[in-house]
This record gives sequence, structure tokens and C-alpha cells, in this order.
Amino acid sequence: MVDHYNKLVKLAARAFYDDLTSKGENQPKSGRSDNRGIAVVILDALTRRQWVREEDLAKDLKLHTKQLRRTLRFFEEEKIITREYRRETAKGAKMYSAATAATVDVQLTGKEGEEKVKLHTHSYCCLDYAQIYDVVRYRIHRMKKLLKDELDNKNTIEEYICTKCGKRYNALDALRLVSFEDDDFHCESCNGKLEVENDKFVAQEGGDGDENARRRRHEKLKDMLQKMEAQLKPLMDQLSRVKDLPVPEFGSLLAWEARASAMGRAANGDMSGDSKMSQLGYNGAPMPYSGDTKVVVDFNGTEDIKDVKSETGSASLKVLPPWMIKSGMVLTKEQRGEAKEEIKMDGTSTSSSAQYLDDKKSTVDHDDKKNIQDEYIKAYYAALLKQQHELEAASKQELPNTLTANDPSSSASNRQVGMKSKLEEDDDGTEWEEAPVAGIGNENYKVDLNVEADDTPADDDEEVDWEEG
Amino acid sequence: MAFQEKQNRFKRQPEKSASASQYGRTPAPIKFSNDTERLQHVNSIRKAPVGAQMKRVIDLLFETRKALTIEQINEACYVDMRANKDVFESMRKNPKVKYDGERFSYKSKHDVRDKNQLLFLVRKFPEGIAVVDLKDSYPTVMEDLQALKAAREIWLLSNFDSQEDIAYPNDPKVPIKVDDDLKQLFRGIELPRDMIDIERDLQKNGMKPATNTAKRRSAAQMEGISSKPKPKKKKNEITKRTKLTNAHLPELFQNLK
Repeated sequence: MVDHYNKLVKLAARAFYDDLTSKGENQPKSGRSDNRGIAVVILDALTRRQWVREEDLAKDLKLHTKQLRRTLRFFEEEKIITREYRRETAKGAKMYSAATAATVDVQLTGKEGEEKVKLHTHSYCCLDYAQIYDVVRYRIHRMKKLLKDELDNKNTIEEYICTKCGKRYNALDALRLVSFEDDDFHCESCNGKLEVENDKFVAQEGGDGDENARRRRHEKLKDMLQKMEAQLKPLMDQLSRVKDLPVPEFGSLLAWEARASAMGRAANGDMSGDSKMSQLGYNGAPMPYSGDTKVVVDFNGTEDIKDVKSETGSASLKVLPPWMIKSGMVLTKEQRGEAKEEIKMDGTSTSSSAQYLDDKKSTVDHDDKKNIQDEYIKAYYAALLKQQHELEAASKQELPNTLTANDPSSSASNRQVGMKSKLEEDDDGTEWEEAPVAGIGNENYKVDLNVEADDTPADDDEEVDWEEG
Repeated sequence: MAFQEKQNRFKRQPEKSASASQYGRTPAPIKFSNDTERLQHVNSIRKAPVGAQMKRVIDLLFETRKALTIEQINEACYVDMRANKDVFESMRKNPKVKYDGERFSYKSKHDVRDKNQLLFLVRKFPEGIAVVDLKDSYPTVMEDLQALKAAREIWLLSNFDSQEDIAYPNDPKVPIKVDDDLKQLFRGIELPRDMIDIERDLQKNGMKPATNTAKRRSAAQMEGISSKPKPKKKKNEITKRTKLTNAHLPELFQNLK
């Protein structure tokens, strides 16, 4: 889809703008610095990008920023591109491209006494495919109309143009536009004075009454109309080709950035958003356009936590180590290690925890060992739960602030955890870390293990150097 | 010029000896004074610094674009790399020189031999390639670049910062050529300042506009950006009252208001 519109842009660029130079009108066009084709080169480059910082584009095309900006300003007036300006820190501008610049709603202020960060205005540009499509059609239609009207001598209805805003009117609008102050026609939107639009095809010969001159002019117009039909055929074909296709819309710079960063994070499976270059493709090029994406940004942070699901939810749940199990937890049998035994083809039974073993090692002898271990684990879990219930009962009698660490039974449980990890070493190669059993005061809340914890701990803020602006 | 003569003499040497043996004549004896002069010149070259000798060899390789042996180089430009190991080692390590164990040849940045290869190379760089990097590819590369530009195969732009040309490929899949008068007519049609007017005009003529400016503006307002078209600033035109620093050039101010 975008390819068709890109071809339209390329055709329009080559048809109407290939003789443009980046020189100003009043500057002499020396042979040495002949820049014909700069418009085509820039538009071609923009078809390979979405929103792009103008400095970056100039650097990529090895052009001077001044040259590029002059051409872009012209294209903005021609409604071919959209430009946006944004004040951002020099450091931020250097580090991140337009697609990755963070769209943070809250402005973070630096520490007291810190110098103010210098903000620089950076300009970004992007092709406006919808406007290009409309403007090209509008101009071609007006070209045809002009030529045909001249051929048919339809000069009876005069056309007026506003000198200020460029709005057009014809003689039929004159009644409502006439001003009672100076008996002139005035524009309804800006109140500027209207002037009769100049005839674009007044013959150079000057003899308007001359029959030969009129005939020559007629021939010239006819020839021009035929030339137009023939030479603009590829462009007209492309216009009809894109007629029913949806127009690529990148939206504003801000919206596009948010969409691009979301796409990048989704592609990387990285929802933390800390990798700034994640949404850039090869060579730092922005991600390709992939249809209109609706972005809903919740600034108030009112997202419902219930909707958050663990990415590993669909996968089989791991057997939890004993030190993670607390009373009040909602656990499945699989998580407790009480999974149903599967009957193998050879008649031996293994639990689901044995599925990680190498096929070469899974002999009957090994399976027997596994069964013994599983039995031990089940018995161990049962004992542990019983112990926790006892501790709960004891905590009601004792002071609420007393920690389990002071209790002699806790040291025993610690030791058992160590033993457990030793035993499980044969199982799947993972070694559980010894952790102190949590205090009684912390056992009142429920923990849902399906809710994924935040990647960053709460006290990480001290390490981040926030920058103003 | 002297260098060119010596090179030509080097090229003609085998022919002379062959013709002399054919007709049984001995070549004309060299005058002693001329030979002394030549030997002095050779001596001055061989006593020159390593860098100067290298330059002579690289210039020779660049001009001839041939793979030459040490003997051929010695005969053409009097740099004896057999006797001077420093020159030999430096030449062997030089990035602009290729040595295959027997012959030395010039190594350009891009291995391009003709116009077709040149076009193929430029097409590999859609973001442009500096002409400086192409200049030393082969002797007629600049003429070929101009020919490709004339044939609309490439665009040649000069960066007015460094005055260096950049070559960009022209997409061969987009063939369109429009006469200048049609271009002028197209660009001469003034666009209304407000895009809404263009949309209305298209609708009036039975064409469905792709742009929805009203929707865009409402979205921009929600984001807090005003997208209303800004009125053009009036250019500060020179009038009769303007103080001129270059009043002695009246041709600049013929159309004063």
C-alpha cells in the first residue's frame, strides 16, 4: 500500500520538481553548483522514512542543512510535507532519534542548585501522503480546466484571487463580496482586496485582435493539452491505482512516536521500555508503517491490575520452592509438586517434574530414584504446611512483632531448605538460593503469582540521573 | 613533460631494438653530455626521500593503470625498488597500491572499470556517494558521471558547504518526463492557503478528498498543538526611503517602489 503512494510521490517529484534548485531566486545559478534534482533526491529519501529529524536527513544525504531546509520549506508551502518543531535537550536530541524520544507527560525537575539544561528547537519533517494525493489531483484538474476554458474561449466568467490569502472567487460571487466603502471586491475570510486573475496564456506576440495570433495560440493550447495527456499518463495511472487504497497516515510527531515506541517494545517483548533503540530497524531506520494504530494513553494511571497477566501463564507452572510457599497462597497442585503421575510406555510412573531429564539418562533405575525423591518432596511439603499452621497458632498467643528468626524451629526450617536444595540438584540442575523465612507480620496478605512483578525495584530511583526538560 | 617523454621512450624501446635487428643497423649512439644529464637526474631521484620516490611510482601507476614489475617501474620512472628496500616495503603497505608478489598496480577506492559498473555502484548508495571516492576509479570517470547525469540515470548535486559533488541514483522504475511549460503551469497554479478549500474544490468536482483537515485540527487541539495556517509575513521590500549602502550600483534598484 505504502509502495503505491511512494511511487506516486516519486512520479510527482520527477514530473514537476526535477528542475528545482536549492538556490534562492535572486542568487545566480552558477554551473559549478548546479543543484537540479535536489527536490527529487529529498522526496525520494522521505519515501524511505516516516518522521525524521531534519539534521539527521541532511547528514544522511550529505547535504548542507541550509540547502535541505530551503527545499523543505518550499515543499511545506506546496503542502507536500508536514513539519513540526520541538524544543528538546541537546543531549536527548543526539542520543535518540525521533522515533525513540521518550514521550513523558510529566516534566522532571533536576536537583536544587543544578544548572538549567539548554533546550534547542529541532525540526522534524514527514511526507503528507493525503495532501500530496489531493494537491496533485487539484492542480492537474485546474490545469486541464484552464487549458480547456482557454480553448473554448470561456473567458466570460472572470476569476478573482485574494492577494493576501490566495482564496479564489468567480464573478458569480461578486454580489456578496462587494464592499460598500470603496466599491471593490474584498475577501470574505481575510478582507483582503481581490484582483482579477491574470490570463496565463496571453500570447507573447501581443496582437490580441490579430486572427493569426489567435489561431497560433489556439494551436499552442491544443498541443499543450495533448502533451499533458501523453506526458502525465504514468502519473494519472498511478493516481487511479491509489484511488481506493487507504492513505498512509503517520499522524502528528507525538502520536507517531508513541506508536513507534509501542511497536518496538511489542516486537522485542520488552514492556519495560528501557531500551531506547528497540524500535529502530537496521541502521537506526524507523520501523515500517503497519496500518493505523489507535493509541490510548492512560495518563492517570488508572489501569486495572486485574487485566495484567503473566507471560508464563500459558506455560506449565513451575514447582515452587518451599521457602516461597506461605499459608494463604492460592496454589495449584502442580505448583505444590502434587501433579498427577503419568504412566509411561514401559510401565514406570514419573511425575511431571521429571520431564526435563535427558532421554539418554532416563532409565528404569533412574525413574525409581525419582519416585523416591517425589515421595520425599510430598511428605516434606505436608510437614512444612503443618509447621506453618503451628506457627500461626503460636503467633496469636505471642507478641505480634516477634520474628520467626528468634524461634528455634525457624533455624531448623532453614537447614531443611538447604537440604532440599542439595537434594534437588540431581533433579533439574537448579540450585535454590537460601532465603530467610518471612516474619509472621508479613503473612496476612495474599500473593497472586500470576501477576508479574515490576522489573525495576522501588529504590532504583536513586541511581537514575534525571535530566530537566 | 620530461616524465611523459621518458614513459614514451620506455614504451618505444622494444620496437626500436626489434627494428634495428631487422635491418641490421645499430641504434644511433647517445651523446655523452645527454647521458650524463640523464644519469644525474636518475641519481637525484634515487637519493630523494622515500615519500618522493613513492609519489613518482604511484603517479606512474595511476596514469598507466597497468600492473608493472619492479624493472618496468625502474625503467619508466627511475625508482629502483630492488636497491631501496624502504621504498619497496612502503609501497607494499600503501593502501592505494596492490602488490601481487610480482607486479604493482594502482588500487582505487571502488573497483569500477566502466560506465555500467559505475552506474551499478551508484545505485548501491541511495543516500548518495561522494564523487571524490569515485574520481580515482578510472581515467574517464568524470566524463561518464556527466553522461549518466545527462541521461537522467543519476543526480549530481554539489554540497555548497564543502563544494563536493554527491551522486545519487535515479529510480529507473519511475520513468516520466514532462516539458518545462507544463511544469511551470503546474507550479504556477496557486494553492489556497487553507487545505479545507482544496478539499471543497475537489468535492465540488466529484473527487473524494483524502485529507480530512477538520479532523486533523481537532486531534491537534486535543494534543495542544495549533495547526492553523500561519499568515505569510510580508517581505521587507526596498523603497526609496531605504538607506542604501551600495547606492553606487543603480542597476540593483531599478524597480524601487
